[in-house]
Order: sequence, then structure tokens, then C-alpha cells
Amino acid sequence: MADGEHISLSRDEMARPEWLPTEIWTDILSHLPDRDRLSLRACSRGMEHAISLTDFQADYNYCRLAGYPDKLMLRLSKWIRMKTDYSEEGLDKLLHMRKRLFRRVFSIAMTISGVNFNIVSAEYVNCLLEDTKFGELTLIIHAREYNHDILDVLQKPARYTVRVIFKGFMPDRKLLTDLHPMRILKIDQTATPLDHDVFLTLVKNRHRSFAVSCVAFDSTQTVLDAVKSVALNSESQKVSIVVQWSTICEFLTLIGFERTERIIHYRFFDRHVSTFIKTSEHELIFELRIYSHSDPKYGFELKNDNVIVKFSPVKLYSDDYSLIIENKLATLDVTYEN
Amino acid sequence: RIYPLMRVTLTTSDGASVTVSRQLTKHSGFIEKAITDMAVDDNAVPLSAVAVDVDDATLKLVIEWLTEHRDDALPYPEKTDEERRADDIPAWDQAFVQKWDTKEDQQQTLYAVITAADKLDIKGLLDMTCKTLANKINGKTVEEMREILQLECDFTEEELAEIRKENAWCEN
Repeated sequence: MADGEHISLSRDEMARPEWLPTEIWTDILSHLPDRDRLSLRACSRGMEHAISLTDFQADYNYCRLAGYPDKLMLRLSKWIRMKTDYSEEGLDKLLHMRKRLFRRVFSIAMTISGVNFNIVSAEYVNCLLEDTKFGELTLIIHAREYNHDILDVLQKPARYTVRVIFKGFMPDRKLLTDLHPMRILKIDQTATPLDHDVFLTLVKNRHRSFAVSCVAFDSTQTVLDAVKSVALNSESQKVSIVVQWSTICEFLTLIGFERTERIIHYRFFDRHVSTFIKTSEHELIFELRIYSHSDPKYGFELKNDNVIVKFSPVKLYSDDYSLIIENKLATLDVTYEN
Repeated sequence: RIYPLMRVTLTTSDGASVTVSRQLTKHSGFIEKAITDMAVDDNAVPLSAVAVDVDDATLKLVIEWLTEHRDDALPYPEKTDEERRADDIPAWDQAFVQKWDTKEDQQQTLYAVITAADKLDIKGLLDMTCKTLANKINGKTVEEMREILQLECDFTEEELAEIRKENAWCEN
């Protein structure tokens, strides 16, 4: 029986299981293996219809829409694994079965990976995910799979928090700047640098975690502007960028450090930080991580394979890698007062 | 506050009247809401009759279950996604349901009690009866399920073949 229908039935009429309310069948099915859902729908027309109206709690360990060279797979549990080729008939069949097995799908998480949006339209994916509620949707997309229309999948209002990972390429500027705040936005393994103005826009758009492997900085002022923007955010925010050591040095100078000698003078460093200083003589790659005020790691840190150096304006870190620059980070403190 | 001696009259869908203690009806969200909506003095004895869309025979079974569970804690604990087990039905409840197995209309009785528990919003009874039905069909073949649920296969040969094909495809 559909939601909202209230039909008074006699005891004999109620004797038919198809007439049990939908939410009761959802409850009964929640105690059964997924295979029993399939068996039940084969019992009678009424049961097939009743099952199609129920909700389904998907197993997030398996919950995935995955694209392969010759097929598309929607997997929602250990047993329910629907695969089709990319023919119109095959895609229609997948959509049909999705609608006949359950009405709504719930899961803690769902991953979409390997789906070529130039073959499978964003509109189709949205139809497939209609009436679904995920705690978190992760979309992993490579260059050949990319189509600007993925925005339609990512921007479904309030359906879930979204993690999107662009792998090996730089998406177009418009898509990036149009994105609503994401749980994670990651642009990974790309040799094409992100323009400095887009970078700053994305920082200001306050994606909760934003990581990019390559930025074309026009000046270290952009880095400082990013640090200030994050620092001003009262929500949790993390920005991670891969930068050259020369950029780091310029940035540190910009906020008042006098290069490495001054740092040594401040802290009587242990060998870990000495390594940091020593390697700084070369053009090395560092990851600069910036954390907002509400993050326990508030401040920013520099990381490579050997060392992490933390810069915190408020907390005195006691571990060996910490570096507290009370005076120099006053620059950032002034920023908060603005 | 529920007064143990306070009683409420329930009128059934087939015209019978049953008077029960508020100590029992406090487990029914539907009846408690009906009493609240009446905005009567809690000290009024007896309370005005509450009409329930449940037949007399089924209501008697519901009251039998409520009597056994009158001291259960309220509110009934919400189930989490992890708590989907069905093998934790208390012994008394199992015996209570097994009594129906001797009746010719045992399956109808189970459906009727499930529906009554749903209508009267008695979460503990609904949970127990849903688990009972789930245990009956768990892991059974389609034919066995039809027999347990007393269903006629009304698919055509072609439709049944298609459903089987679809089911096999879903597990491929």
C-alpha cells in the first residue's frame, strides 16, 4: 500500500501480506538477507509491487556505481550487484530494476568511480540515484570521464555531503568556481597548474577540505590571502597545496620571518628541524596545509617526507616538530581582529 | 503521569467494548494521543471511549501481549541500523505467537496483530511480530515463501520467467 493511503480493510482482506503497510515490509525486509527480497518479489504480482515500494538500507561497504570499459555496475550490497553494458536497452534495464527492487535507498556512503559521463549522462545517473539518501557521496573522476554536466550530479540540493576527486587533470574554471561547498575537493596528480585567482576563489568558497597539487602563484601574497581567508572562517576548513621551497621562503619572509637563521635562533631545534633547514637549500616540494580557527590544528604546517613544522598562533605544541613563533604570527592575529 | 488504576474503554471496529488499565494503554502511542486530544481531566473515571480500528479478537491478543509487557520501559528504544537481528524474541513472546500456529488462520492472525500494532503504535509488539514473520520466511525458496505467506502465484509463465531472469541478473 502506498504511503498516505488509509484504507479500512476487513480481517480477511488484511490476511493478504501484500496489504501490509509499506513501512512494515521495509521493517521485515531489514531483518532478512537481500536474496530474500528477490525471492519475495517472485512470489506474486502483489508482492512484487509491495517490494518495489519499500526502502532499502544499502551496505556502505559495497555501495558503488562503477564504470568499466564495457559495463556499468550498480552495487548496493554483497548480493545486489547489477551490471549492464552501455547499450540503451542495458541502461534502461538497470534503471528499471533499480525502481522495481526498492523505492528509496539509504546508505552511509556511496562512491561513483570510473563512470564516463560522456557515455552515461549525468541525467541518467541522477535518475538512478533518485530517492537515495547517502551520508556522503564520493565522486572520483579522470580526464576522459569528465563532462561539465557532472555539476548536475554534484549539486543535487542537500542530498548528501560530497567528496569529489579530480584525478590527473584540471577541470574547467567555471565548473570549479560554480561548485557548492564540498566536504572534500581534491585536484590530484595534475601537471596543469590551477590559476592563482581560481585558487583563491576556491579557498574563499570554503570547501571543507580543499587540496590541489599544483598552483600557478603570481606572488606569495596569494598564499597569505589564502591563509587569512581560512583563518577568518569560523567553520572547520583545511586547505592543502603543494609548493616549492622557494615559494615557502618568500611566504615566510612576507609574514616576517628572517629565513632559517632566525628560526634556529628562536627554537634551539632538534635534529628533525635541522633536517628541514638543511634540505631547504634545495628546490624541494612541500605541502602547505592551512587550518581554520575551529580546527584543532589551527594555523598552518609544512610537510614533506621527512618533517612536519607547525605554525600555530595560539597553541604551544609540545612535540618535537612544533615551532611556535609567537611574535611573527602576530601578523595573523591582526588579521582576526579585522 | 499515568495512574495505575485509571481505566479506559476501547471500542473495536466490530462494535465490541473493552475496558483496560492505563498501565497497558500507555504503550500505545495511538491511544495515548487520543486521550490527550480529548483534553479530559486525568482524574475522570472512566475516561471517554476511544475508538480503535481493530477487531475484537485481535484486540484481545494485543491486550494479552500488553498485560505481559505492562512493565516494559518506555519509550521503546529506537533501533539502529546495526541492530537488525531477529533472533532475540523473548521466550514468552515466542510461545505467545506459537499458540496461533495451531489455528487454521494463524497467518491471518499474525497479519492482523502486525496491522493492529502498527495502527495502535505499539512499537514493541510491532517489532516482535515483524521479526516473527521475517524468521518464518528467512532463507526460504520462492515456493516455500508462497506456502508460508499463503500466496497464489498469479504471474503468467512469461512473467515468471522474466522475474527469475531479472533476479539472476541482480545477483550476477
